[in-house]
Amino acid sequence: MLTKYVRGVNHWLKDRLNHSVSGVNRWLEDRIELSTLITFIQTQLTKPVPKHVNWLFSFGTITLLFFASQFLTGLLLMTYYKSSAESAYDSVKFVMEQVRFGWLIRQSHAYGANFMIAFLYLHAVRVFFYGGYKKPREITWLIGFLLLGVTLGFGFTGYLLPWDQLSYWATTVGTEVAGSAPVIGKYILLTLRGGENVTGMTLTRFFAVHVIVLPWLFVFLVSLHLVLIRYKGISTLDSTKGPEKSVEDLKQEGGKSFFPNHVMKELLVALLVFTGMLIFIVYAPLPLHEKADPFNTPVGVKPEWYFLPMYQVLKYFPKLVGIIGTGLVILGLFLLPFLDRSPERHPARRPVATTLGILFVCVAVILTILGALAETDRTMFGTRYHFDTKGVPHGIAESDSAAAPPTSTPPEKDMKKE
Amino acid sequence: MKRLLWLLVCLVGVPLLPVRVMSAEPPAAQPGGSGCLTCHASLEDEEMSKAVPAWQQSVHKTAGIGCQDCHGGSPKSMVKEQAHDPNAGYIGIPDPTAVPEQCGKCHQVQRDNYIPSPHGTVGEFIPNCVDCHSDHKVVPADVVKISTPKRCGDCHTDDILDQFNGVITGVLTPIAQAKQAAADLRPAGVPVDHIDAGADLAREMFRQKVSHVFVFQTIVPRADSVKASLKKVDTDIRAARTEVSTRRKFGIVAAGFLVILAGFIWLYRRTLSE
Repeated sequence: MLTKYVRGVNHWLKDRLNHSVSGVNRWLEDRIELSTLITFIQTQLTKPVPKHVNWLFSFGTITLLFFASQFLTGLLLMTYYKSSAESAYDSVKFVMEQVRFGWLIRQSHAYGANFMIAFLYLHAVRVFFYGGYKKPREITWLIGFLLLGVTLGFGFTGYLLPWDQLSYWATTVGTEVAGSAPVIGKYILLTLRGGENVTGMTLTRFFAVHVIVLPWLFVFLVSLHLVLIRYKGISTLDSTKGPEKSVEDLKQEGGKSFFPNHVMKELLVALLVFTGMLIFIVYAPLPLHEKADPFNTPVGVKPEWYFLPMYQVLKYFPKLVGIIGTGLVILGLFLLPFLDRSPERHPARRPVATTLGILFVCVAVILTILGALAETDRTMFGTRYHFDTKGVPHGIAESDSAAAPPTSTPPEKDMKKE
Repeated sequence: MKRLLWLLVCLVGVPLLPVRVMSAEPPAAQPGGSGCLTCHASLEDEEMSKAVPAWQQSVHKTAGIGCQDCHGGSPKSMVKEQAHDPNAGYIGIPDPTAVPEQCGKCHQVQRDNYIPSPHGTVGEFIPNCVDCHSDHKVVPADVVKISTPKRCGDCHTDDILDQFNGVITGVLTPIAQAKQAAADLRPAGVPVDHIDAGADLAREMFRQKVSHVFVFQTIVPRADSVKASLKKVDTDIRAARTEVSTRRKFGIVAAGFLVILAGFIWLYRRTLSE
């Protein structure tokens, strides 16, 4: 009954829209031959997608939607943001506290960055398990991997911009380590920081990279990525030995058109994801920490969760081994289409790759959890534990975790003032 | 070959930059300690060594107040005779009657309130600073412990101690609650600086007028005036909480709208499937 009603409304809307648009169409047709463009777009939109395409195939689009959201909220933030060491923090605080709906914009941007990276990771995992990187889509994978790098670059440069304690010290330590590279280390350090120390100069260049360089790079790469996806279509689960399926083949196999079938699926997932983000924003807003203080190092400076697996690996191995090992894994993932020569795409027909993939994901999740737990005290099953840098729990007595007796004010601050 | 090598270095190195960048340990904060720790930490006599871990947990360590600031001597020397040289100002364990002046070098307000108080006018300064704040761990005096008749009970009855405890906690608790409320509300992005400042002002009033005075007739009206100053802070906290609550309602309504929209799209998709 309800479905019938929706269908009726749909037809009515289409009629009204066609009637209003036809006049505009005629006017444009006389001038720019719009019909050619429309035909091209319609051909693209009605291309069928393989039958196996499911909800998991919406992750890429959701990542792109998050980029659009980041672009929009970033633009709004830029109208108030001041990229100098003196005023950056205050300008972000002003947006959050004084600007109407500024809290929503800033939280959407901060959470959006996390969601964008999360869905990009999920998209990469999905492509791996469905063998989407295999011939003839190797270049799509390579560009996608570069897009992941650019997105992480967005995260790293954007993290400094609020100019609060954690962002300042993460950048100080980070650039210092980059500067310890042999021969060119000093030049890298000076280029990144714009001087010997992290100062307003660092902030302005991170800001420039964040709002100019990376967005253009992202748009360029994502355009290539999308063109390749439209050109080659979404891969089937068939072996790469045989020819690629034609549009007719896909239709015969029951593949439905990209629009509206798949687009509606993606839209539905996107709405639910954005709903989830909204709930996070209002119930667990991301804090703005204290203003950056170059003379006071906060305890427990950690990278954001998306760097945690790599960060944690370096704790278990000698530094050089960890770095080379992690670098080789990243290089291996980048060159995956050329390393995995098996023609099979279906995960069940390539058990070794599938097992390795599952292991990789499990290890990454475990390392992330260990990284998050490291250097914290937590109560689990009624016992208080201290997790050391490697994430190993050590039972501690309650008195150890509370060195000072309970007081009405934080002891350090209280006594300091006195 | 050289080019290939460079290419390999770049391919491995560039993706690693952020990893390396984020991986290093933060530089450790410089302690305000001294060379005294090197010897005293390893002394077998527990009386002589226990001060080290206690001091290391103290706010004095954070503030850079070292052994020599209270005990004198030459902290840079590793030779006991030189480190403990009276000519270098070494005094060993400070005279209990000199402790209030010693601590008062930094904690002037507390000294000025304490010396004319009944505890100071006794002449022997009993109890003195370290009796309530400990010597090396340096903790804020806990009013709950003060009401325990272990030390205070030698001179005061339990009733008096409980009354005193009530006055002090009656002021400190709402101040602490206001500070906590500001800290809890801050991440939401509502303005809380004025709440924090109001609580700090009340705390400062307490410090100036109530803390270390130890005379009931004096501190009760003063404590009431501090509490009265917190009324405006309470109003501000309520306003901030209302704002957060409004935002949550907005979030729920907007989320509900998005879910309904998603429901319509789901229905529309079903018509397509048919």
